[in-house]
Amino acid sequence: MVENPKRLPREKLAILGNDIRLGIITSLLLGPASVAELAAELEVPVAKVRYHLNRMRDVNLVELYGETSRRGVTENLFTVDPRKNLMEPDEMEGLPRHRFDRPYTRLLKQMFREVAEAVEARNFRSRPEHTGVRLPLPLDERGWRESAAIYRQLIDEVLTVREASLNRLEASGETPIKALGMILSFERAADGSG
Amino acid sequence: MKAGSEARAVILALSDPFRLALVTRLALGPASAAELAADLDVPVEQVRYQLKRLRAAGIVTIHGEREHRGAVERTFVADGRKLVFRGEELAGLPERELRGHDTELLRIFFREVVEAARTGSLFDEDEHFLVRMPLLLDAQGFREVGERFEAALDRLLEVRTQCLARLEEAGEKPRSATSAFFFFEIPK
Repeated sequence: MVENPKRLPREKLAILGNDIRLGIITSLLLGPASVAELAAELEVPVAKVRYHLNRMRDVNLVELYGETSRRGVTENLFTVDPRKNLMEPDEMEGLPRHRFDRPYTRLLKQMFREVAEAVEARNFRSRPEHTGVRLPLPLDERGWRESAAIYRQLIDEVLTVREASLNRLEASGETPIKALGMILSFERAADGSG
Repeated sequence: MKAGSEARAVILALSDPFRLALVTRLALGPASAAELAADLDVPVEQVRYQLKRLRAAGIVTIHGEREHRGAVERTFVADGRKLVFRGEELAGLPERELRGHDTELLRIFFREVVEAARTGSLFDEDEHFLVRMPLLLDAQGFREVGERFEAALDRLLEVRTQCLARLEEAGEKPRSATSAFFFFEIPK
């Protein structure tokens, strides 16, 4: 399906490097939508949405979900599999640094903006389940491996809960909660004592 | 798990950039007042004064004693569990105090990220994680995701404790990480 093995990682990074793509993916992760709905939500022309959507569909980052009929017109609905959107370390291998430096910096900025907005809106206090934790960790090599395993397991568990939740929502018609889950972990700068 | 008043003392103690820097340093391994003063480039009296306050709040404890240039010196360590709050612990705490704490924490975290990006350690390693998951959840799912984050945090604190013990035994220096978990409802 994917003829060039480098293409998928590049398309994944392109999501982070482009506001429209990041907007499309975010929106589709929160629920299936049509091209027209995406264009309205992101306030960009339909043609632009279609262009980016098609490029992401080429590498299966975005998938067809179903059809909907609106005002007598049949529209395609699209969805995203979050597991396919995760960038694995081995996919980054061999990619020149500048390829991921900028997109990741953009993603970080986006995440900071979202966390700051939630702090501002007092959302971290509105439900007891909300989590906001920053932890300095002294690790040896084994600790690095073990902590990485914890993050991987957490991602998997959260996405499993998400799937079950989506199924229940479809059946119950309950008002859904839009949320963000974030995991950041990195080596502290050498002189970073705080 | 902290009682409400204890959580409040911790929140207040951590709402100051200098104390937060002290706690960060001590969360990464034991140090003496003199070492802290040298690390953070401040007079040792200032360190001693704030250490007292942090000890009173139960965040910092005495780790041990050792000889240094003929004098006996105490070393201190920070309790990682004190840096982690459960939602219910914070219920009923004054809004202003919580906001001060949140703002300070975000500020130091932002600085750490920027610093790691500047020195190139941010994206270098396979074990590094930068994950953003937009989630559509029902009430049950929201609870469950919160529980998963909490359980992962407990496991992480366990790994941290074991690492500290191994590092001390081996006399090794850690390769320190900053880890952060966020899970929240997107503001409407």
